[in-house]
Amino acid sequence: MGDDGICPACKWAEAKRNIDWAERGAQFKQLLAQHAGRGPYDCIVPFSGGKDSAVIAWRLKHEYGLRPMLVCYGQLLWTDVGRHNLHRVADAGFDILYWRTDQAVSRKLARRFLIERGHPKAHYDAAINAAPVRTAVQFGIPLVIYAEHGETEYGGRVLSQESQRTRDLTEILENHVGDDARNWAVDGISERELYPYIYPDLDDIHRVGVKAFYFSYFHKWDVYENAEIAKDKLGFRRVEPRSDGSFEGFDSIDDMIDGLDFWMMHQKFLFGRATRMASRMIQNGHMTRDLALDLVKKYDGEFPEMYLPQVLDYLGLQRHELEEIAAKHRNPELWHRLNGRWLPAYEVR
Amino acid sequence: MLKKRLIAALTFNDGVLFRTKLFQPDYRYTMNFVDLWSIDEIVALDVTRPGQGERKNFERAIETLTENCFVPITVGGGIRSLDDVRRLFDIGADKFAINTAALERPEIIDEFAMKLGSQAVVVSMDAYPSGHIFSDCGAHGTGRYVDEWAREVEKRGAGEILLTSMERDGALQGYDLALVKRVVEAVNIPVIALGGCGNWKHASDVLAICDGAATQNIYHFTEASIRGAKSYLKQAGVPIRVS
Repeated sequence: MGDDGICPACKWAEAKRNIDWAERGAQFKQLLAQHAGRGPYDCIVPFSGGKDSAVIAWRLKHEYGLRPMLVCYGQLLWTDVGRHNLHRVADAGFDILYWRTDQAVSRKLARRFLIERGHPKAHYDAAINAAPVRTAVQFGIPLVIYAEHGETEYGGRVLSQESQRTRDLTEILENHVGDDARNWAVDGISERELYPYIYPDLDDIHRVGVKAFYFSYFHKWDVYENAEIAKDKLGFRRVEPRSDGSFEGFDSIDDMIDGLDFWMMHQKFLFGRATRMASRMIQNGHMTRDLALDLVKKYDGEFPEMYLPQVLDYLGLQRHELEEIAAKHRNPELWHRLNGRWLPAYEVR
Repeated sequence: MLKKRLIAALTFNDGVLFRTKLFQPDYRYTMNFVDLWSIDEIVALDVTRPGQGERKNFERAIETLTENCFVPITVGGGIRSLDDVRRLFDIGADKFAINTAALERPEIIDEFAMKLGSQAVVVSMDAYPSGHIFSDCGAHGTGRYVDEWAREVEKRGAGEILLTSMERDGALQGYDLALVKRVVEAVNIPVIALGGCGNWKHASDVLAICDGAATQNIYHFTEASIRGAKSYLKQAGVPIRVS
């Protein structure tokens, strides 16, 4: 947060209005001329199954005439909507390489990371970073095109202008996972079973000359517009009327466990799914602050009931155990206890 | 043979546990999952910048630590006098790390060693790969080098050296082995390396050179993590306490 009380994401949203996107588009074409088409596919697009990466793939194909390979690392607990959308992308004319990994291992890790970090998808974060790069190395496809630079778009420490454009593959572990997957070989999980989560050797990455860029550096990035394109061009479905904890049903709708993940985020930081989405809507001019405030007050921190039985079953937890875990992650500066209930110490105004 | 040590370096910003990166508080974490039993030692550092918090918040955090664990605790950050030490000693700290105060007035090491015994005096140094030492949380160059400074602090009675690679702080790419080696070869007292530990292989690499591998990554402190680390190190032939 700056001294003026304005966060970097809002400043970036302001700065975005003055960027010459045509010039950035020309830069992108130059970059494609340099790096695309050097393997059996022009490039790799890391594909979560969601709208943003699907739209990037669609635009690369239809606006730039590329043949991308989509690398999808499967969600822990696919929703029906997510599965439908995933298949729609293949139907629309794309090759998808789908990694489905040992769910016995994944469940153990999800449980461990929910307990220790309040984040059941820490290993998923590792895998979605490792899988596309691993595939790039295996297939000899040096160009990888990521969606957005999270620190720039949504707030965080932006290391340099270059880091907004190029993904520094050596920094992934620190920024996105915080830990080396090799360290998780304990309690009946072997290092060999952790292979999908382990980042490829930098020597291999350099041998193939893997270069990774952010689509969002070269194109105006707007998740709401992406959702619209995904619906119109690819036939994406949404969660109706909305996801737990939010006012919309188009973002992070592929994994049943995401609702819990966002709820934990709110427990930890008093920053919930509705605040997260409302901020993006305001920043891109789709919503007034007054409306956003109402929606945040109404939905932020709502308990994720929608898929709770499946999620608890996956994690091997009872509901009261989940509450106990959340209590341990709650930031005592942000919450206080009144008559046996936890209440936020601050309210958005 | 003396056992090698796996050490948790806990950095507190105004009493709150943070992971730091390049000497800036970077990510907040809760103490609730820091396993205080199976780690060999704890180094607790106050990284609060002057005017950005209150010392008593750090002391309260140390108190919580000492009440709940029985492994040796080294406390550092902002220690400038024996008065500072006395308060921390009462709270239950075992060893005291001095850094900037020793660079400003090296005699303080002799005084500490005389009063507390060398075993309780740790000199902490923050350096770049060149060996240049920086003071005041990495803010000021001192014109001194790790090897000559290490020799001097040993002569003055320091019992141990905590060597932090500023460049590797918060990075997970491995310790600066050359820097560690340079200090180890200069002195006979134990050297603890900090900065850059990403995986247990890194720890075993550095423990082949020095006595203690300190890790500041909050995700390394959970009970399962330490269990994994200890079994890895044991298999790699590092003499380590496995509880």
